[in-house]
Amino acid sequence: MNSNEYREQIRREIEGALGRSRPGLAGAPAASVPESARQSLAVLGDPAQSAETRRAALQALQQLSFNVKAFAAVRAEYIAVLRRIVDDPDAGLREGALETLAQEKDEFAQRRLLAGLNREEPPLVDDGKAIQFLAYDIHADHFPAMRRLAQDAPDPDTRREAVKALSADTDAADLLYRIFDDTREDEGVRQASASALLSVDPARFEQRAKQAVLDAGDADSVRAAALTALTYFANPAALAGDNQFMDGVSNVESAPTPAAIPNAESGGDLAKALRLFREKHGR
Amino acid sequence: MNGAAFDAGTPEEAVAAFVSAGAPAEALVALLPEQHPLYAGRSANKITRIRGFILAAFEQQGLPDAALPYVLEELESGLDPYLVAAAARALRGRTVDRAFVPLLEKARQNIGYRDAPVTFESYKPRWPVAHPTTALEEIRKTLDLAAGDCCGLQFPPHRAARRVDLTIAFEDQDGRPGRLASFLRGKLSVVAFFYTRCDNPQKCSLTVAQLAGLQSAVDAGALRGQVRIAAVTYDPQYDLPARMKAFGDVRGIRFTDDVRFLRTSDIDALRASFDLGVNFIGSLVNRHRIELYVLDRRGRVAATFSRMQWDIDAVVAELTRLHRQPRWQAIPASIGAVSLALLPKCPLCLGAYLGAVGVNGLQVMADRRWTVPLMLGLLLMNLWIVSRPPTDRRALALSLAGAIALVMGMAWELPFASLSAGLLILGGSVLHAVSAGATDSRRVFHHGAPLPS
Repeated sequence: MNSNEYREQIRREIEGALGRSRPGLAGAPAASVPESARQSLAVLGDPAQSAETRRAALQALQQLSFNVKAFAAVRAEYIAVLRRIVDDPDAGLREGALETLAQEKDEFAQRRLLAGLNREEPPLVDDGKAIQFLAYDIHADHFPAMRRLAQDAPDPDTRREAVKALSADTDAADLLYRIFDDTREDEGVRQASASALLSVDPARFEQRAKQAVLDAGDADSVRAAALTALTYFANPAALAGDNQFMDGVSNVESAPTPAAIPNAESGGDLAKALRLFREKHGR
Repeated sequence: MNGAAFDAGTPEEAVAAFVSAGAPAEALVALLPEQHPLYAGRSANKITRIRGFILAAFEQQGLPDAALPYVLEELESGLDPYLVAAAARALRGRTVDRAFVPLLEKARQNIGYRDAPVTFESYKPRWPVAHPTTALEEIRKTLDLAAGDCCGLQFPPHRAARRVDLTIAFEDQDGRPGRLASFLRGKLSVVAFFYTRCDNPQKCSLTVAQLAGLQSAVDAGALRGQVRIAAVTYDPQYDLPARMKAFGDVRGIRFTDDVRFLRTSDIDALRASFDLGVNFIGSLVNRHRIELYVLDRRGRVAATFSRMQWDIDAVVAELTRLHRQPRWQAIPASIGAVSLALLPKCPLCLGAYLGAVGVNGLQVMADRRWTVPLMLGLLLMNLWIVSRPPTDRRALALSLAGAIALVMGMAWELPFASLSAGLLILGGSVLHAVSAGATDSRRVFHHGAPLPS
């Protein structure tokens, strides 16, 4: 059986197990979910099968697991197989298994991901993915690593993911302000810091965001992020009463800043942010 | 290594080695309270590993009574397969009474859709392992051993009365500031703890939903208007007013002046004062128990429901008991105030005497919202009288010192402050009266005949 045939067989089994009535497909009671799942688990855990076939089995299992009640009978076996394949040579299987385990807040998966990020052992997935998976659980013990990576990771994508993960770390506010204020930092990282600050320190960030919006020397994408934050999260009454800021926003709108220059993609962001702000706050 | 020396710096592997070496059950129990220094600054995952390993060891070491609440708590509210499996295993360290069956069934329901392979053969295992088990498997094994009479366990509240620090400042769900004393005195109170980021729906979320039920029960009965309800967050940095409000709103809380959610910047003082069963890594909660306190009208803890899920009727019963009690308790405290009030002295000083000596009695008898301002007003009036000519500086100084002592005593709950204040004010009044009497005598003399030059 090639992988396409296997995928089709799995699809039929899933649809049957989930009891969907579809022309040409016989519905099966939910009781068959464990049976289908066990077949897929056998394939997934068998290194002799091709990686593609095993990935199809993993996908099938992920879908079957939505039927929580029927899947409960095989859940522990499923977790056991997933833990086994986090070290599989196939990167796609590793990533799929780790993502599923991370969503389940699995301690073993979190421990392995963290060890990879801290270079205590070879990383199982790239750092950005590892950060995303760990961020599913605020109790995953990852904040110290995130703080380090947000500052020191050479790759801006990794720094950005780390900063995003810090949006749940109330002890990281000062670090996030430093990143937001660092005009030499990558714009995407600074934008992420604005979002994170909105979560961890919204009241103080409101003032800082106002300064950023009115700072014509700052990157438009960062100003746009700050303005968007204010648009949705600032107290409308307090904002309306801040004449200095509201006048400043009007000037931003009319000024011939890079925002108005057609070739500036980030300028488009600022223009859009201004439009949204005007719609919500009437100026 | 001795378990008594374990603290935040102890490697988790050292704790595991201590447990594996056959540490006695009593030493293991001592490591279980959430506030133990062992858990300070550790991640939730590390704490789960440590506690699970300790709990499972009770199967071999025997499960003493002191450990039972920790085991039953996990069976009732735990959602982590490792901890629930460990608790089920721990229960086999004693005769498995059928009274435990309902909690084992609850554990089976809780973990049914969350089960996972676990092992206690090694600490911090790398998977796969040779002989895994699961939480459901451990529950089943324990259920198989259940014997004796069925069923049901009672978890009465702990009724040791104690003071808590009411000077702690707070902000409520609407951003209104205050101090605990201003909210928790004058009426009976219920104080529960939670945090909005708690990921166990059997704990914080359920606690707040239960508080909404308690609010309805109170409003529907004889306690209507007699009880204040406070839910205090463990996570004040994250739980800003809007977040607390939303958390309460969606769980059915109807916020009023008597029902508020609170956050304090002084979480350490709050934790020490209530001896909260919680620990932190940075500002993030890493482990906590369920805890609810019933406070009397003076803001003292009268009953504590902790660890096990509390029942609305049981809390209402506790409130009702307290509601009936204070009238008797108030009498001795009020005798001093009333006796002094009857002294045939300066009538305008009566308020001061009442405030100075009987403030504790008054606050039990009545609502402090009006007794405190009244008392402060009378105190000021007393000071004004004492300061009027002919002024005796000693009397004024004593009265002023008494007033300050009284206010400070009330604000910070200083022991003996009320008594000291009463004596000072009384002394000031006596001096003033003596001084005024002497002056009046001189006046009489002046009116009758010329004063000697």
